[in-house]
Amino acid sequence: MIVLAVLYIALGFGALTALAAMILRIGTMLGECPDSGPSVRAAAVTIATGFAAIGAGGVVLIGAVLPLLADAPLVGFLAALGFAALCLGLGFTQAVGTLRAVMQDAANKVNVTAAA
Amino acid sequence: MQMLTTPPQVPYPSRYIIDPVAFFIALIGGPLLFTALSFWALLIPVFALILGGPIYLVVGTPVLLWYLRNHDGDPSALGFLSLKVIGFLAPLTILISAAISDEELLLIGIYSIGFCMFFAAAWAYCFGRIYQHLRRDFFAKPRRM
Repeated sequence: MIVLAVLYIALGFGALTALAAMILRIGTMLGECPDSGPSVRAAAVTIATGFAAIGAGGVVLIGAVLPLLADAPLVGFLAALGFAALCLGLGFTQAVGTLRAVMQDAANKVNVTAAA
Repeated sequence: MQMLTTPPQVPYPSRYIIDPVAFFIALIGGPLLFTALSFWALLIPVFALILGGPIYLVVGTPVLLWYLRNHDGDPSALGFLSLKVIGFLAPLTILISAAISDEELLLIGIYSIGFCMFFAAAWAYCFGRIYQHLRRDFFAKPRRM
């Protein structure tokens, strides 16, 4: 039980760290665009921080269900890990969508300024 | 003879991006706010929070995430949405309890519909108020994605 709980924490937070790092990397890649680069890079840091904070809360909350399923530890472990991965993935998609929207907004602003 | 023209753009609905920080603060804060405002009523709201809170979180989170993606978070509309969700879930609970002939669950289901509808609508309304108040302008406009 304890081993599985530790494994859950390690895997959950490992996935969280990996995805947050991925958001930062995507932010750096999108930041190479000369028009919208600076705002995207700044937004990537904010979004990655928010993702890490909310994701950590989610991983811990889902982990709190583990002791309830102490009779079937493996089922609880797999279900919790799967659900956590699902939520983290959804959060990651949302984060990347937000980054794209930031980029679009910045590009539109540049276009409007150029047209004026 | 048929004219060759560019086909019209496929109408694709605009979507909102959900403000995650405002969403989670409102999700937790909505019921707490309502309870804080109304706990004097024989402590019924406090019991409702304890009994209904987990169901609200389990059912409400995905429903609200889906709804706010497609709609602006108008508090009254959210209150009505919660009534619709209860209107779907309550008969389901009654049917399931009848199917497994669990009389206790059936009675709980029938007696609690009124309370459920009231508190669900109130919590959803408070959720909407907090969400719209905290949401940043960036997330307040629909976008084509």
